[in-house]
Amino acid sequence: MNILELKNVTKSYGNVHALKDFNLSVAPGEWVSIMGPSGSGKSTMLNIIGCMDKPTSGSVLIDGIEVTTRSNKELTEVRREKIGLVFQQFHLIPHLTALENIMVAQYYHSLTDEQEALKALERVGLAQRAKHLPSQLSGGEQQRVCIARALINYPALILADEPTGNLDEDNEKLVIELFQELHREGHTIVMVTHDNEVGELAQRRVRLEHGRLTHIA
Amino acid sequence: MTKQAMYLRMVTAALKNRKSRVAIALLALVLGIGVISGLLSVYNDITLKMSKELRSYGANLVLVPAQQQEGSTLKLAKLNRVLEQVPQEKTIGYSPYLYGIVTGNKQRFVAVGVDFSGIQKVSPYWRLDGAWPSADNQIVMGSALAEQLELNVGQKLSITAEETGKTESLQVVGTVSTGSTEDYQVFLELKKAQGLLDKEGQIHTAYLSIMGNSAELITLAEKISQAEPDIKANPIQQIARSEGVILEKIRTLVYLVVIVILASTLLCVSTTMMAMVMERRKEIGLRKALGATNRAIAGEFLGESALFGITGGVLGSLVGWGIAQIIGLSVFKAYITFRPSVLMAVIILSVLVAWVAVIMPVRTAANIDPALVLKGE
Amino acid sequence: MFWRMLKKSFSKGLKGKLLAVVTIAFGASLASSMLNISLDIGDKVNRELKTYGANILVEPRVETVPVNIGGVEYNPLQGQSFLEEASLSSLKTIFWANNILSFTPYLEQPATTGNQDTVLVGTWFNKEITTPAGEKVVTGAASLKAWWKVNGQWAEDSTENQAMVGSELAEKIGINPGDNLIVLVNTPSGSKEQALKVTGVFDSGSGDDRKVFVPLALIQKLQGTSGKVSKVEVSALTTPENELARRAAKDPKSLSSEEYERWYCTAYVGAITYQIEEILPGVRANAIRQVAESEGLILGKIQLLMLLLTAAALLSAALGISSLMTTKVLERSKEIGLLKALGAEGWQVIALFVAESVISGIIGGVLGYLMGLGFAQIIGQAVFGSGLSIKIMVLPIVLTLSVGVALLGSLSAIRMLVNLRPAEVLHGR
Repeated sequence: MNILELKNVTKSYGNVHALKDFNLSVAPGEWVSIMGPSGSGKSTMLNIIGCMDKPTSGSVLIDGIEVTTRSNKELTEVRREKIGLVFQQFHLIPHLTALENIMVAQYYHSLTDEQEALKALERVGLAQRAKHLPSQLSGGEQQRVCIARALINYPALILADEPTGNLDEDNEKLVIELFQELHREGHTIVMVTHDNEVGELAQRRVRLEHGRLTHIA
Repeated sequence: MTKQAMYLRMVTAALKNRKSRVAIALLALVLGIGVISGLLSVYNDITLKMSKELRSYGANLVLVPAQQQEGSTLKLAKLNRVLEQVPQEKTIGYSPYLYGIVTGNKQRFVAVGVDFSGIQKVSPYWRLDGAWPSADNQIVMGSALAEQLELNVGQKLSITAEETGKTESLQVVGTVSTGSTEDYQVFLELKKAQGLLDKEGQIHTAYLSIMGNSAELITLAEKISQAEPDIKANPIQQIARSEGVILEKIRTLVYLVVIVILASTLLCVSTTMMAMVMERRKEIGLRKALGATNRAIAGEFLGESALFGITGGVLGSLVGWGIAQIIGLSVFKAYITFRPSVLMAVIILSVLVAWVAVIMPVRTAANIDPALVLKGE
Repeated sequence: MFWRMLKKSFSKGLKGKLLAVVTIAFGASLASSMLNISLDIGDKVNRELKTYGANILVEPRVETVPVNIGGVEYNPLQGQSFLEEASLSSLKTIFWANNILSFTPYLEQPATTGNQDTVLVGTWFNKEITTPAGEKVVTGAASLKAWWKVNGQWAEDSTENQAMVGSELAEKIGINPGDNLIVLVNTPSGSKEQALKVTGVFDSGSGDDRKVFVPLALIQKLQGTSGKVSKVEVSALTTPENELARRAAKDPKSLSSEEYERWYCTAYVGAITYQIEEILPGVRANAIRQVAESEGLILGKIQLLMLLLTAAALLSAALGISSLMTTKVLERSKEIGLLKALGAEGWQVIALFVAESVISGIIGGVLGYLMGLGFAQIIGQAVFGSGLSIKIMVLPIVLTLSVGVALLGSLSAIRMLVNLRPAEVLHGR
């Protein structure tokens, strides 16, 4: 079963169509990168996949669950269970440590488990920064903490929005390597990016222009 | 860390983070709660303390012979028995009175035998020029009478009782002015007066200053009249009644002021919390993106405001205790007792204020759309 | 441009401003109501204290010393001194005439009824008199002895034989309102019977309950002392005594002319009695210490209490407003950073925010002042049963407080932000 299945998804605001008849399937273990200029509808599509918005029409299946018919509360549930989010602005809660930031994701999901959170930090190579506040971490380190957080609840899908957009070259490399590792381990990744080089690294590239899909390899 | 521990950690860290902002809002809460706490402490004591102050008005209970005929007297011993009926701590003071008409310096006036230490407690409003008698041949004279007789402090006066013809030579050691009949009378030690008037062991009336409200006085008066059938105890109602009215008004005033301050504090805390929520829009959006339900978010805010409220309540109680003492000392010249019940009430009040204040902000938080907030710059 | 930005900040950013203005208004209303109450409470409590009775006694200067035991005068009539009833209206011409709330004269006559000894007290009940200035004033026992509980009606001055009987006496002789009462008096022309119509029975909670109150004219007729009274009780609103008042009471001539002026023009009970002695020939006017001092004591304490409360309330209001203003400014830190990044000078940014704070402060202050007046009126009605008089000086105080505190609150935040580098502020550190 496909992890993600978007069928004829349209999102309109009055006469403006942010997405028009959008179709996309993502199989387990695939790394798909979605590219396109700003205003092409990437954010809208991201919000829909991330269960933070519902399409005007069409169907959205996440790990087999139809989310267009769900209430907001149920959407939140699906998001919690199935999706790990990584943002361009690596949103971390400023007054909690790196470790605690990961535990926040656990908290809303099920149980908090310090050991597991620590292991997640180890996975991204930041175990020794567990007690640091976000203000004490570099951009790259913060983003890696975000990735660890995205993984903590064993999501079906990792959704990344321009994850390297705010990073310098060296940190960008680190983060990209991390994603490559995750792909090798079999995680399903959908990444939005405007950076061609980053986009090239994915298995499959998809292009968005004015809300419509055009394929590239 | 358990889930509960995590909750606590998130809530405390949130407050610690915005130290300065939280601090100022906390200060406003502490002060508002402090004033309320101080007032509540004083409110309880007000009746007691003001009542004591109001006793400076003078006697509120008078004892007279049950048979009201001209010149009928009471036995002094009976007065002492009556006094046993009244609880010690409620007795401010008392004095027996014995009257007689005398002549002195070619004038006719009234001489009164009293207990001077008692008089000072019962009638603190007497204005004395000179000194109180320390020996039984010393007297105090009403200021108008002294003027009439052209006598000064230190001079001697000879008085003769009309009824008995006995004479005493006495020294004026002070003059009193009350603006009432006392200004024309002369006061001597009770025993001396009894001797002069041939009324050993007897008195005409006794005036008492007792703490208590109108109802308590009536009850006491009845108790005394029943225990001693020769004696009729009359509450001087006029004063007790007025006391009650004034005290009630003061309490109502304090109560209303408390409400006004409470409303104001509530508003200040509320607006600050609202502002804090607005500030944390991104964080709230993030939590929602991570799967927090509106209920969870509300729960966290309630926790934060509860903590805020408890801290404010405890600190406010301390401030309130201080304020109560300042009020107590400067207004009543006495310490206000510490009441654990007020402490509890204040902390609960403080938390309630914090919770009510957070209602609007929480509803705002519920409407925050994670998508908008996270993407927006 | 400055004015345009300022205008826009209010028209477009109104919602945000609203919160600030509302908070300032509430803080100002707290300050305004507390100040109003504090300033007026002295007067209100003073009037309440009138239930304790008259605080000034006016008597003629005597040749013979009164021999009074338990309220009964033992001196024969010939030996007594009197005041002229007609001269009493001059009481309303002294400097502090407006503070004299009520007064009533007395003339007493021992009498017996049934087998009870009692005293007939001649007085005014609700007498209309004309002052030398032509003003009509109604005064008498009905206003002076307002705390009396009357079963029945107050007697009328114009009907000579009406009477009000004290509750103790009434109980002893079995008299009710509406009954007829015969009393026996010893007049200079011999023993006489006088028939009285009892209009009411009163409960005063004092020795008066053993007496019978009748119109003054009746006693004057019985005694042949037409136009005379033996003493007058006055109820005046006074200011609590202090050091100056006490020194003046001993000897007004010991004061310097500036002190004398101050003392005379303050409603100390001593100043009022002094003025009464000035205007009425041959009288002694004295504060009834028992009442006057205690009034002063209570008044003093309540004013002090209110002062402390007001100070605390003002502080609380100031903190609340200040904290909100700080928060509001910090909220707009991006805007500040942006303005600076666009090349605005520090002082220009500060000027804009200062103007906003001042305007918010003024609007909030005025609103708050009006609301506070409302609260104060409600409290006044609830506690004292009468509205508070509006003290004009509260408005400028409250406005200054609102604007001042709003400024202080926002200034500290603005200065901090303005001194940061725009980049820090824009990217939120």
